[in-house]
Amino acid sequence: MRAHTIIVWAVPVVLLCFLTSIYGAETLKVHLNGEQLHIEAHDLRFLSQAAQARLHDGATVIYRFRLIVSDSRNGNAAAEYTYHCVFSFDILEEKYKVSRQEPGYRTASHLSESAARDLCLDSLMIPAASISTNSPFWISMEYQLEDRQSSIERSDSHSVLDTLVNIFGQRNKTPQPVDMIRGGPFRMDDLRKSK
Amino acid sequence: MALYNGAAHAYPNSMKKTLFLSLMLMIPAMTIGQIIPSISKIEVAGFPERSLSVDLRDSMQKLVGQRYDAETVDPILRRIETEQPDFLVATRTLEDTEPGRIRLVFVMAPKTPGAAADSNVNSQYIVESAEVKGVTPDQYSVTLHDEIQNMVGLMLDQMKVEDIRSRLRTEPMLKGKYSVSDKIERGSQPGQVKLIFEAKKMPWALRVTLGNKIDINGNGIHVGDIKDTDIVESVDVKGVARSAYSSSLDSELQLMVGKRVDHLEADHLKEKLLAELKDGYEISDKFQKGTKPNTVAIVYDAKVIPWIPERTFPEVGAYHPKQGISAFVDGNIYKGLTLGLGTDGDTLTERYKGYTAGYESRMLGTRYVGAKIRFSTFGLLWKRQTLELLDVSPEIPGAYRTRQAIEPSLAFALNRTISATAGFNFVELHMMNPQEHWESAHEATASFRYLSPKLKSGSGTSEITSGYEVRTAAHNLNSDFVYTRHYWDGGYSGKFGKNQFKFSYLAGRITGDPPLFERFSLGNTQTLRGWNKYDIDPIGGNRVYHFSTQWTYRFFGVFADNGSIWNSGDDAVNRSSIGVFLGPLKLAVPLGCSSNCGITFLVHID
Repeated sequence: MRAHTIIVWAVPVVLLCFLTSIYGAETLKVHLNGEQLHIEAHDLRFLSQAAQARLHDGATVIYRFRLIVSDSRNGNAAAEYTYHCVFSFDILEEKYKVSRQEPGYRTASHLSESAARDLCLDSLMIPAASISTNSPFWISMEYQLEDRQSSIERSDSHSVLDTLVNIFGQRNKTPQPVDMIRGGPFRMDDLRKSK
Repeated sequence: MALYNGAAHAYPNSMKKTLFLSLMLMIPAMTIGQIIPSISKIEVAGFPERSLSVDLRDSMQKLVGQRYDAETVDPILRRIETEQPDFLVATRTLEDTEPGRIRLVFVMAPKTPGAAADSNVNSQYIVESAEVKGVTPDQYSVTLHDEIQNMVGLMLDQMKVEDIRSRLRTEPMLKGKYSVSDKIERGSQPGQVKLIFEAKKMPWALRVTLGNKIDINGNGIHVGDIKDTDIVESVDVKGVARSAYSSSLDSELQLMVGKRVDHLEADHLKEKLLAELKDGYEISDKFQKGTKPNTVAIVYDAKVIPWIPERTFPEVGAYHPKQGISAFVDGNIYKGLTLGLGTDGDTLTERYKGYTAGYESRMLGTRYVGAKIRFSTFGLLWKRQTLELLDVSPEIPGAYRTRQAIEPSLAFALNRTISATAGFNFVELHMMNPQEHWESAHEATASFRYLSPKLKSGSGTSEITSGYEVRTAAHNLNSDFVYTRHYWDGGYSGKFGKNQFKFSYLAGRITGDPPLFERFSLGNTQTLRGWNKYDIDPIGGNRVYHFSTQWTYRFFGVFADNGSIWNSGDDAVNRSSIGVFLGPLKLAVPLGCSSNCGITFLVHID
């Protein structure tokens, strides 16, 4: 086999490894606290550039989280829970504030970005009672920057091209992309033991 | 030493005068202390004032000029609470510039802490200044200008900011011409911020074309003046029977009625509707003006997706430095009528230019059957390398000046992923040698195609395609050429966030002596990129295989091609290339190329 043929086939292999590393890196973990499962994803930098730009303009951004419990990796949802976290950035003190909107209102301020993220994620809970004790289960977390505060949309007139892309790329309001991470399989028995 | 024994004594006259004057002075002072100030202006903080009823706003304005006391103000306060039961209301007075006059502010706060108002950490800061950049004050109303300036000295009110931004973009002189955004910056004093509204003029092309139709603002693009504050009047699903989706979904859809427009929820329910219809439909959602002011009717329009894929002529937009520019477009222009025209020197060894016209139905009453008929006429141009090689290759049918074809076919779908076609392709060629004459290449054609549904994997989606096509020409079809052409192609495409991974393959085999347009070719803007087909196969080949791998991150990507083209009986030469691209612009490097080759700049629009 000639050298260049080896190179040609090596490129896709390297790319596949690269993609695997990208998508294998961030996985969701959970821990049991009382009768609530809490989400852990410390490396997940979910605040997008658009959200950061909006925050640094002094506005609030809202992230919507949907937690989906399923009995297999790509299985149907056995239970779903939706939460909203509201972030704002203190432009004088350069610290973050985060509020969880439901089910109960919780808020904390004077936080670093990572602390705000972690606090938001930690406030996302799944009642342990909703999950079967001995069957394995998966948890997927979809998260999305809500449109209302989108910086992408705010920067609508930066250039003709941007504007045209925004105009023709959007129907009425472009939904922000929904990102997702997933973790599993978990077992309640194992989580109770590790607790 | 004399001791004071407490006996009475008289005040001296001078002291009496002083006491009298003091008493006289105290009377007006006491009176002034009890002066009830009058109201000079009414303001609302924490809530968009125009969202209150007109009647209530009128009543509030009637307070202007009246003395401020609880008995006068409390009924208004109660009315606001009744109208907005989710908000707490309190009053605050601010000194006016004139003595004895005050500005009365109704401060509203959500009972359940809201996203924008209570959760913004910057709401604790005082607005030091407020300005509108990008337009002059005479381009928006004095009232709005005053309201903006009235925010100075108060704590930042996020809802008020959003309300003013929203009103700025609907000002007659700005609407459809400017986009408006807002931001805050550090103030010059501790605890203070500067509030800035930025109006930016839209590009001319948009102002004259879409300016009256759309409304660009800091929070998005609204078509037909639909606002976030509008109330959903009705939700309808058209194109499918009510029984096609569940009652629970119908209930969820109807729950939007009476509430403010929530695009996220509308999109979520659209996805649920798609899922329940099992991807057999495409759904467009329309937000139309309701019958009453400030209301919206949401319509989900479901249309059946044909199982038979579109079979238009391959569209091309390409540039190769040794092959020139190619631009060919083809598409459905009206109810199945198709029209295509342009020139293509990229796909085959010939450069054809001309047009196609036809009719295509992807559903002949049922999703299982479709039909198509297409007529095409092309004039041909040939490269010198092709003509020279043809001169020394008498076994290969020669070049032709014109190519015309009529191509009727039927298509069948087994399901939404598997389809097949059967038909004919009657081609007439105006041959150039030995003297000009017409020859026929009449083919029977058949094909089979598999197109997987979008396979979800994590946050990504993948698609697999695979196809096989056979064309055979024989004397009993009244053809001058006799040959059979087999062609396989397919691939995998995966999209994971901003990353996209593609792998594609093709292979072909021809027996007999086909005309040049049926021979395979590699070395253009899509295959063996960086190589030139006129250097490696100027008249094409009757055997081919090719693999291509491509990774894209947003617009940037890298690719690797590997393939071979040859004639039966000859040795196959394996060639490869790698390259990078930015959108349609590509830089390709042929590997192992010894002469007349190098880094090649290509353009290919997918």
